[in-house]
Amino acid sequence: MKTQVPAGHLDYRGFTALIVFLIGMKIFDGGMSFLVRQSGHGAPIVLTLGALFVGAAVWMGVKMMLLCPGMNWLEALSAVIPRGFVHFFGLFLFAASLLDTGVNLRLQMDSIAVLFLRNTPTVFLFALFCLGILFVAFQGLETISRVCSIMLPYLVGGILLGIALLYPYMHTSFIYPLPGIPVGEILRNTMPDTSIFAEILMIVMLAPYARKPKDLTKGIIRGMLLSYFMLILILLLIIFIFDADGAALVPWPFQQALQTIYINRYIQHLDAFFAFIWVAAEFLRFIITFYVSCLILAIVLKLSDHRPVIPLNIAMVFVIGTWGSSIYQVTEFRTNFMFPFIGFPSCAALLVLSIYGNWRLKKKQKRGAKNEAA
Amino acid sequence: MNAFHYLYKKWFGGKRSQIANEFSLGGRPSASTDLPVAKQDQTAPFPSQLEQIRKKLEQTFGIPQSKDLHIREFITPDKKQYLLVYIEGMMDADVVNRAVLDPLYHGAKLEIPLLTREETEDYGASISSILQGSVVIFCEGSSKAIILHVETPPTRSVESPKTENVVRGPQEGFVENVVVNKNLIRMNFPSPNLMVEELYIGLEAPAKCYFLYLRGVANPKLVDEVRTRLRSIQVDGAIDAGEIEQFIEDRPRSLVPTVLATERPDRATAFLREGHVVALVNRSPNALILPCTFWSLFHVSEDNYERAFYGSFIRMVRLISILITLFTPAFYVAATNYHPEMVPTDLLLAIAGSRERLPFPSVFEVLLMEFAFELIREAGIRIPSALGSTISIVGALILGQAAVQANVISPVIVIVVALTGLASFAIPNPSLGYMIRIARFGMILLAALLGLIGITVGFCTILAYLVSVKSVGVPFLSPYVPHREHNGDLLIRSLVFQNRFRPGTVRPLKKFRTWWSRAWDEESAGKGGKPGENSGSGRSS
Repeated sequence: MKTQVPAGHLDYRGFTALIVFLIGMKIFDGGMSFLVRQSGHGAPIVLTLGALFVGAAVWMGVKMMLLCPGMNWLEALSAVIPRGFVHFFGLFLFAASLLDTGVNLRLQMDSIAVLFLRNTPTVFLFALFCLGILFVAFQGLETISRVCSIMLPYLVGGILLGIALLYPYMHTSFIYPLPGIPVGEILRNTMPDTSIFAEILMIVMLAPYARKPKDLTKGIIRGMLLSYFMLILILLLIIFIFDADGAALVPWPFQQALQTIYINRYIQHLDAFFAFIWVAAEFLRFIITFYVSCLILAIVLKLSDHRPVIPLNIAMVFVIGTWGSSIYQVTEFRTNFMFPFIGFPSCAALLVLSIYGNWRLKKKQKRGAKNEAA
Repeated sequence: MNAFHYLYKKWFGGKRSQIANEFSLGGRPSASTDLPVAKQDQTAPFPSQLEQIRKKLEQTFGIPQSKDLHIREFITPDKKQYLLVYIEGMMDADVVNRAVLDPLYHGAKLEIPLLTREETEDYGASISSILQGSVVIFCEGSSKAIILHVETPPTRSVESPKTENVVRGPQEGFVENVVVNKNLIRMNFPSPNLMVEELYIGLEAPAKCYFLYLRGVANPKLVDEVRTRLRSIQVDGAIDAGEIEQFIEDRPRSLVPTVLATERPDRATAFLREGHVVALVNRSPNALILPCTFWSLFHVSEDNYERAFYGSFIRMVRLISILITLFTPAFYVAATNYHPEMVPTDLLLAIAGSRERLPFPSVFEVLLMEFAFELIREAGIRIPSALGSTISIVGALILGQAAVQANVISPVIVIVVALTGLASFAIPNPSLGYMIRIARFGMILLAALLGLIGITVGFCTILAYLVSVKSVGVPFLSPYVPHREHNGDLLIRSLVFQNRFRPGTVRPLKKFRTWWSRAWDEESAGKGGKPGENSGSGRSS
């Protein structure tokens, strides 16, 4: 496969920010609620196991890419497995990232409409976001990663402030009984719940844009750790506030918890301030997923420039996002189809194919070294 | 397929690669010149007969239709014939009378000081000299002309800058004479390493330009890039640096300024010391500085003249003023239309009470008042100074009090617009001010459409745009993003003696600029670099 025209060189800060926006900022979407609904008090354990599983998969993926410098994950794979399969998997990844963008964007628009703009049509909101995404996507990956690294400290700071302000509403005893569900169920639930980390596959597709291999590894380690801590912190927070049973019934538990903050008569309803953090985080997240989907499509179609596919992709995102007739239908689709059939298989494929790729590439290298010696 | 290719080339083909290396942007011009084309075209020896020279001069200057060129023919007592050519009012007549005409008429030898005299055999050079205010003397039978540099172009004396006033620091600003401007910088930094290159811009009426940089500090790639851009300008003439700026900047259609213009010699000198490049254009009281980042637009020279805490405080005030200008009207529209719950109840009731009898929606009120404020501002600049106070009274009375009394606008709007206007005056750079004032209208419209959500999307989009902008290959927000070595002197002013590094954004050849200046102080000793040391730990990536 042909390497894309690089859209800039990313340092480890850029990679860290991209990962945190892709994964860590899921604290604002319905994934948290889904975790608690499925695993109850065992959700933090399930999340930790999922993180370990995906961490191992990413580690194998990165190791494989370090054997093939300058290549993305798919390109590295194409050196050891049949190209037809790589193309098929590339198309699968493209479809997954496009669905991820469209469906999650739609759900976020619905939540904004429900929480803040009750009279505004979702389509109108959706169109505005799509325009913003289109504009920023044209500025390139370098710009996207830099915006993320500018915003990251402020958004994380805002989130920590929110957690601090919610302290009076927390009841730490709500965490019990721990783990709350049998061990077998925990392990079974871990599978679909790894999909919360599935976007890491997008990062391994961006490997060629790392300034140095060290930037990639350092960025992934930092990004994964920060994302995990953010997710687990918010998961614990919503359990402490709503209890596991209550949190399962709240569609956007973190946002709704933030709405309750009251400091005094003059400082109340800080949800508008936190809405800024939430919307900015989600907006940037969708830009990243959208941009990566464009990159993957360009790789699959062997285009030397990914920019011509941007308008086409945004049109597809718009169609996907406005497809579902109601928020329930879209949520069901995400929970019942995307999590088990796209999220988990992606993570599993990352692990399995990377292990296989590593083995084959090392074997190839050894054979090459032997031949040279002979 | 052809249509697709056409559209692809149109949309993407013309854009520069987003990974273009720093200082390597832009296409190379096919031709460049240091000399005015007038000189090049007409480079030829002049005829030896004075009558032929006169005819050629008349032809060149369009005489008799054009009246300002004076050709005086005179014969000295020793029967030698001369032609004295000059443009009326552009030369020092007294010097010419005293040093040239008197001695010639009285049969004495010409005693023209060597410094002001030059001889040429080049017709084009003599024409250029005449146009710049010199007196040229042609002598019968001689193949050379004498150029007397007695130019007295109309110019004003060095005064305080008009737009970049400071309380503490030098009170001199650039004037319209490029030589004076160059010397103001030279006086500020009398170093032999201050390189001053001369070039002319303009094919029909060349304007003299100087191009300054610090040898051994400024990155040669940067210097070459700016020189190439300046030389590639193909225009009939240049009036002001503002025009030149648009020829050489990276994104001329952008809202974001990528060339810094200053009328302060001390500021231009400070940038030269950091490794930037400065361009001076004749007849312009502004120096152009490249590359330009957000921080160079945000900082003012006084920041460094005051104590660090004062400088940091005033920078904070400036940052807040930028945020107020950009967001206050938009927040008002968002809060009143979409998020009334975020306003404290008492204030909400007060606002609701004041808006009870108003016929217009809040967005219309805000846009109306913001436009009115821009009207007052523009009128205030254009109107004769004697009427300036009238404008402010009319503006305040009609647009403020009367509009409120007539129930056209709410009193809160007046407060919002006044606060925004006041804050906009605190933005230190006029170009940055324009950018924020224009972007403010976009934010108001987004707030009217989607409240805080619209503001957030707008903010992220603006940020992405700012991040993508580059000035001569240097990212607009660097050294903050992307991280480059710097002293931390961005929002918070660092101590002068701790400003060890030149900013890494311009990739200077010499990294250190401050050495062990406080070796006597035990606490700060060792915090500066040693002379000759070229490494150290700055805030780098």
